[in-house]
Amino acid sequence: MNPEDSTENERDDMHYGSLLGAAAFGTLSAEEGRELQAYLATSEVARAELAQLRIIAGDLSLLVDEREPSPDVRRRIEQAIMAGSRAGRRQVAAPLAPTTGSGSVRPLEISSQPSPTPISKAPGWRNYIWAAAASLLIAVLAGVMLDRIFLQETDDDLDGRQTIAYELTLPAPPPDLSAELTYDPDRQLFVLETENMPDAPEGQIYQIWLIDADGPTPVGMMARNDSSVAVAANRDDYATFAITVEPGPIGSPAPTTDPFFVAALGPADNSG
Amino acid sequence: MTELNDIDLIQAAAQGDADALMSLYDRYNRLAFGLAYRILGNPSFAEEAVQDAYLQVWNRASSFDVSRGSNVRGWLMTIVHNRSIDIRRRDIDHKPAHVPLEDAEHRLSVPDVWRDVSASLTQETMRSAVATLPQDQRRAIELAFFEGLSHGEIAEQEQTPLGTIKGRMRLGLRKLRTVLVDQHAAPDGYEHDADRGHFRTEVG
Repeated sequence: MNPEDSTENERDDMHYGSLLGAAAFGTLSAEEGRELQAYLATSEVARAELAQLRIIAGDLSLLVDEREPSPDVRRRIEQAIMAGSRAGRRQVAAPLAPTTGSGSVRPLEISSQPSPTPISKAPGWRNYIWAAAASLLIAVLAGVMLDRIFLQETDDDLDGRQTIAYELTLPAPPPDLSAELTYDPDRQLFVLETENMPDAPEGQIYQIWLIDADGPTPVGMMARNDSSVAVAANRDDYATFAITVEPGPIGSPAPTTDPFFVAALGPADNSG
Repeated sequence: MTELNDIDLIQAAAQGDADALMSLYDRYNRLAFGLAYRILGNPSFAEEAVQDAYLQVWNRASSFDVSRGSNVRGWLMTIVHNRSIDIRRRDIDHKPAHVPLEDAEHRLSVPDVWRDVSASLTQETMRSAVATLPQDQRRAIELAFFEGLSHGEIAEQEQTPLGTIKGRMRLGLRKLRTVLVDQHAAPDGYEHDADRGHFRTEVG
């Protein structure tokens, strides 16, 4: 190695090394994240240091005083898990106006502020989501029927709770597939139930995303034999629900394929 | 009946055992809620963060790799922390979310000493270790961890050059690492030199 190369490497080490602290806290900007990601691929030393710093950063949680959460938290977690494992049970949905929370659903609009892009996200994916959501709105306004699964059940669910139904759109729905996405405002719980859902390809899984102006957040997965899944989240925080096919078994940190399902989390579907 | 350890519980949760996840909840909900509340300062937001985090753990339990050198508590608290910071930036500070690095890119085996150190940490040992840091390093770490500020935001808030803040964050964490390993590993008469990775005998 000639002296110039050596000097350049040292500069790189210093520059990227200075980002490791923030990386351990997860507070890098998108650009810094991309730069560091590329550097880490070339430096085992930096990867090792980051791994160690992350452990230390994670253990800083021990500095806080413990506090007792409301018993409701435990109950909601249990309910979400049980709802997600009730494979095959039909959830009866009731399209209703929102009954809890602020009632203001985040509109489907692209933020005017630049927002960071998750690393390795497929470049056109987010545009696809927005385009799909916008297409849905336009189609509904124009009375045009897309290929879609339409929710028509209108009763309260078996627990007497009122739920909100959302319309799912699919680019190319498989025959016989039916699916329902409902939201329970009281429990802040989305439940997706499907029938005749095709298995994800071998080695892949269905991964679920909730999307806001800052991009997609991974919120769960469906295993090969699952026909239903529950996601605990506040609907008012998100504009879109989507499912993609991702590498199994752990999925991806950001979507890598076009969505299989999309649902715009706009006002409740009252069209029954 | 013998109480299952954290690894047993997370592995059972990965197999679909909901009771195992709830056992982890019972074990760490107070720490998780304390952390979320410290970051968010609002019980409703903090409960949302804890709930989201445990459901993420449920959905991702199979991705926990025992061989990575992490411990379940640390992994869980990292998820609670990240979710809390997301909520804080989105709903309280109205700032864009941070971008996490892909975990898969730097899944490394961490030396065994780190596995042991992290798993055995207590609040007391962590607090005493943090107390050894210079005030400016401690401040930078607290702002990054509990308020989710980037180094740029910390530099602006503290009116300090960006490079200085970057250095404080990294140096502070490295010093914590050294102190914690020393506290954990040093038997009587020995001190572990974390940066050099060997033990040296205290003479005299």
